[in-house]
Amino acid sequence: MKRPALVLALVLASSLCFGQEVPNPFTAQNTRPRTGVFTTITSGAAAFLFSLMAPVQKMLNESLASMTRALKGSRSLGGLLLVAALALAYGIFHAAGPGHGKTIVSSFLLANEGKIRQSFIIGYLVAAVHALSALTVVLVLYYLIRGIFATGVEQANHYIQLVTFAVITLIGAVMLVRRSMGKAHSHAHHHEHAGPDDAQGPEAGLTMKSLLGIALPAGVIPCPGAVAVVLFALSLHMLAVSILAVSSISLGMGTTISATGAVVILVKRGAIRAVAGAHEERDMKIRRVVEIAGAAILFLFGLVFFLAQL
Amino acid sequence: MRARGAALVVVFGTVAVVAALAHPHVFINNKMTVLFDGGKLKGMTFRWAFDDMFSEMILTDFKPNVDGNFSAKQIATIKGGAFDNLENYHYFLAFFIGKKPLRKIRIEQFTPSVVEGSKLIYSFFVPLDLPVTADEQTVRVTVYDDTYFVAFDLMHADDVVVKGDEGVSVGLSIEKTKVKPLWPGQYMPDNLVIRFKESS
Repeated sequence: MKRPALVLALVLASSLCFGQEVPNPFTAQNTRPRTGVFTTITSGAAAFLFSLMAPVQKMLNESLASMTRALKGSRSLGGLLLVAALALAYGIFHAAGPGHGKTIVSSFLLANEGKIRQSFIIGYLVAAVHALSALTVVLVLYYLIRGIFATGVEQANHYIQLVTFAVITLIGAVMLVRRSMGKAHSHAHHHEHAGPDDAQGPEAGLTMKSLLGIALPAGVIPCPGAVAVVLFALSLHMLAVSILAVSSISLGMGTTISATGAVVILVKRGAIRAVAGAHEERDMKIRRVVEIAGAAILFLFGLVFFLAQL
Repeated sequence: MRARGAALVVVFGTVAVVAALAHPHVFINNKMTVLFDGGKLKGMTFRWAFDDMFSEMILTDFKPNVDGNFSAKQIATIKGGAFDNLENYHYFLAFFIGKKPLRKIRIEQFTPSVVEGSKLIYSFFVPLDLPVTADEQTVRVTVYDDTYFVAFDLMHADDVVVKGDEGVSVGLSIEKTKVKPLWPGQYMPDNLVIRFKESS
């Protein structure tokens, strides 16, 4: 009975390793992303749809730019709404690509017993932090530091990533130790608990504190898409529009990340049920394997990217 | 057993959906010039027109002169800050001379400029120096970023111009790449195929 569970864990693990953010090839300094088996599989799956999606994204990118430019002359309500709508779509598509945010959120939800509702809280939180961080970095670099912008973004990114991945590694390590030592929560999927699930104790789902604890590091690396959009609006001296755009992008990204989180929870539940059936004991075992795998992914993902930043 | 199978299908489905949508950040329209001179295929010029947002990012740091050109000092800084790293990406170019891949790509005359007030252009020359012979030779070139950060527009026949081809018979075509895909359905961008020989 162990084998299917292991296969399942491996498949889930590999699916999550898809989330790999690549640096800007133009402004990065003497690097290129390491390509390995996982990236090969990723690009394999992604490649075909990439060829279909790239023109759509180019169109979104271009219309967002030209609409923003058009707003400079006349600040009509219709124009503002159009920019917001385009930015929303941009955010939805933007977050759909491989990225560290979804990887962290997904492995976290694998390692913990989360509720669908919570995947939405976490998704929108990550997206909000992701966009806010982009806005902050751009504003600070643009108005305060005024060095070479592209290099500034790269440097800011480097330090933020160093701290972020250290934190992620730590969270992953703590979770891994807890799960492997069997200090896992008793699973409570059959019998729903009464009361709010962010009350107390792990049985009641995830606490708000732990959701925030993972959303902050998962989102704090500034979103490169939002950086580009904010900078573009700022260069046209449209601070308010850049804030509008970044909020819409964040809403769009949150939708995608939440949906991914919800799918992870559903797949985890469905897979455990399918493999274990009604066997309580087997259910426990498989759940434990999946949760240890989730924690292991989080830990390894953090570690690999932390080391890459050194 | 059936339930288990179904579970695996669901998992693989999720994998596909999660992995499916890659996100490019930079969009480039690529135009090429094939240059012949003195009985040789001298090389190719590439002209990359960037999208507005990436253009703005570079132009935030470097303001060109009124005529849209940069000073020599600015060019050197842009090259160091936002071009040279592409060496690690093989400049997004895959050349095949006959069947032989071009391992090292040299770049000459890197020139950034700005058109229409806000559109950033990079142009550069890749020397090939292949003597034109009586036998037909073939050069294939593909432009793409395998990390999917950059999306190049698909190649069209009118993206290519031939210059200095007196005494040379040149055939251009755009074909599916001959490189074997590494996996089924791999996205393989089109090839520009240049066939050339002495004209009789």
